Amino acid sequence: MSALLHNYVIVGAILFGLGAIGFLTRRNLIVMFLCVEMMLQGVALNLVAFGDLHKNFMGQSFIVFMLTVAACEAAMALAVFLVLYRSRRTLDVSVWQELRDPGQEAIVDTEPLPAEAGAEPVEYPKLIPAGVMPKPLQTTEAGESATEEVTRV
Amino acid sequence: MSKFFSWLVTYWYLVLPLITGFVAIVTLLPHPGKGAQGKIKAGLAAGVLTILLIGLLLMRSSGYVSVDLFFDAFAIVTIASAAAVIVQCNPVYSALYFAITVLGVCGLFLIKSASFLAAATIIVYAGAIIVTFLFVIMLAQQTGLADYDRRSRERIFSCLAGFVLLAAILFIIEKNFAVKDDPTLVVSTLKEAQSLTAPGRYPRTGVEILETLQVKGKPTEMVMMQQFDALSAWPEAEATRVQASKSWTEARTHLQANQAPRAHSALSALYAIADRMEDAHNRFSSVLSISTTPSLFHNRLSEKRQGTDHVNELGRSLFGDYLYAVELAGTLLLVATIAAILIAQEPVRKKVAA
Repeated sequence: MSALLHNYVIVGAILFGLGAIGFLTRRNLIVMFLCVEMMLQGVALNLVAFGDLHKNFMGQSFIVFMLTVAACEAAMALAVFLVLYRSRRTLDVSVWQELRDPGQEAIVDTEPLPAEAGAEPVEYPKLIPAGVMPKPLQTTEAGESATEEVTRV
Repeated sequence: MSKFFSWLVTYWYLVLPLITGFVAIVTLLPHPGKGAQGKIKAGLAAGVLTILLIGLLLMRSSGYVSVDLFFDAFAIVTIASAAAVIVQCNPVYSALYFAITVLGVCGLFLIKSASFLAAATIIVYAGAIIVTFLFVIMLAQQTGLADYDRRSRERIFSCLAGFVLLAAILFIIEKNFAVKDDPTLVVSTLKEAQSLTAPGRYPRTGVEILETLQVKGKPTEMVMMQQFDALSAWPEAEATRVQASKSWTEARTHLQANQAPRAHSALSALYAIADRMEDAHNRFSSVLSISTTPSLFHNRLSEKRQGTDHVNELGRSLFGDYLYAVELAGTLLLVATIAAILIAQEPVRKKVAA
């Protein structure tokens, strides 16, 4: 027994709509990209459901290509995000509104943000650039000599 | 105006979840005033109500099938976590919720016997894409919530746009895909089909049945296939008994003896009977002017009997029918990898000069 096509199309449409809302309204580049992927998932759901309806593998084959293109897209998008981040130190899309047409008004945040109530700022782990020896944790002489030895070896 | 309201009342099961969903998403989207506890609670309550209403909507449209618990569970997990993705202030949580969405979608794939795709999607999305995104988030955002994560652009207007789009899609789906669920249609259709034939005999032609049914319910190819799905969801014994019946009278007795004889099941049983008739196939295709229909029905019936190995078939399709496309996709991946490395490279020469 399998669920009906009708239900699959409904769930796919809801995923697509939520993704569209997120893409329109969120300002973090990465979250926007996740929303686009979510819309793709909605479409994939439809393809699988219709493929099952027609009892052939066209829909499923198409999703394999969709996955490939999504993977390429993710790789390129991340590369572009890194470049953008390096030049502005932020992932905010509004920073790039200086690319707008001449004569259009800039969007400025007017409403002040309240201080985060009682929450301490979250610390994320930092990544060390590849190929660089991590700095020694202790600055004592014994520690330094130990790391130097490791470097020489 | 009154027409509009009556329309709203008819489609309450679509309008209500859309409204509560709109309220929930608007209140929960990050914005400067979000901190208030009361607001968050109200938004969450609206969200839970929306989820319940969507559950109702899904069960309503599959009402004649015994409720498919797995489908409902996966669908609700998918939708709830998709809403959480766009509502979360913290991008790390967004990414993790997206992983849950992908898992839910993969569950839905499994139900539709796309097992290879389910595995591939988990590996590619949850395994590769999400992890890379988490790396980038950690690289780019090292202390606390960023300012721009706590604001949204045009919160209300974009929600309005999104929900109007969603409403349009849902209404069109409801209009075109919903199978009319009218028990009285069973008996009347059977009577009319029987009235076309001499008493106690098979109906003369498949064309006549189809014409009757087309006047009644306008079955398109889509609807007919849905009816076959409905038939396959029927209790096995009942379905075979109806299909094996020798005359329309006998079929009708079986249908009426069933606890809940619904329109789709009865109609598909009619098709099945017509299907058994001599050269009914040709008549089906001549009426519907679809050449694939007979083989399609045959496929569905034989599939139900023996079942097929889906992964093997998918592999045969990919590396047979779509071989060139697969090779092209591989090349595309290679090119994208090289391009990503080139784009993301640190400008080394500048560093040396400095």
